[in-house]
Amino acid sequence: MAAQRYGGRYSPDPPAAGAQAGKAPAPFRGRRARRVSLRARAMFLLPLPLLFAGLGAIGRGNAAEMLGELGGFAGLMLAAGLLNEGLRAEEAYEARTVARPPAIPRKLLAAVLTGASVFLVGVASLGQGLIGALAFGVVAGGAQVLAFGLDPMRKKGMEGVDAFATERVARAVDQAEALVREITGAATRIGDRRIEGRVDRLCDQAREVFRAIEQDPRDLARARPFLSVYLLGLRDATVKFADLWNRGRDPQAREQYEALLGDLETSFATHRTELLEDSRSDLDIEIEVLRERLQQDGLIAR
Amino acid sequence: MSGSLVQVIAFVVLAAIVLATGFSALWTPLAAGAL
Repeated sequence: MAAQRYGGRYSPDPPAAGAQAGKAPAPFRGRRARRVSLRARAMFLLPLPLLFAGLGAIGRGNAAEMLGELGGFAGLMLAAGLLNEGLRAEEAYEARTVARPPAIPRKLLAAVLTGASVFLVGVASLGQGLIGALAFGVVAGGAQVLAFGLDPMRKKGMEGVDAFATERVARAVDQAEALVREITGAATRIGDRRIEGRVDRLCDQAREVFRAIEQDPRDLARARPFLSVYLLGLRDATVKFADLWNRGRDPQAREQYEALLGDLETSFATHRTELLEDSRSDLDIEIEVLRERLQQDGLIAR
Repeated sequence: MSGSLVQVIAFVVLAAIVLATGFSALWTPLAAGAL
């Protein structure tokens, strides 16, 4: 006997009318929890005494000390921000099978900046002398590299077969991931949990396709048009609907948008498997139909 | 295991340097004023 879902008049999520309601996958499937490094977060707190010291220097009217202390504080905070960004980029790099190293070596820059800030405070405010301040700066920078490691520097999953193809895959997946981020960002602006959940699920399905493409770059040629039409359409529609919905809650626009979501859900679910197999002509027709559908709704440019 | 121990020690060293820099910048003028 199936359990009955409890829901009253004021429950937040009324059961969806469509056929999709019953077979929704678990919302966190395929996602990994984000690692939070407390030590990296603590790097935001450690420079705080410098801020107060800088304020004290302002009170005493000592410009050199103020510059050293506030400059050091700003440098250390910037370094902490870079470090946290770098850890996030590293996590994204590790999650993927095929990946290029991050364009900016943020963790390395953060370590250099930490060392430079400590050096600056030592020289300008503590009167340590060049050599002493340099020693503290170098040790601080080195300790940061040891504590948090360096950025990933090598391309991953691109050895062997065809460097050109894998490079193309990495670039295509990068672009598609950026689209997915834009889509989820726009969906958050709508401020409706149910729609947000549906968009999230669609994005998850798209990510599954990314992983499949990364496993076998030959799939890219087949998957690319579908992914671009599908993701671009979803992004344009979501952005437009978020604007409309925030301006005035137009129920007709919502109905249209939900219908479009439904269409995308069904067409993607049916064609996701075909997408990765050799059934090119079916897929081409499907893409054509989808593109026309999006054009009719005025959601993508003609 | 030994890798993470090195990381912890390095973090402690880093935290000590940054904190000591901050506190001595804060404390030195205060102590000088008090004395």
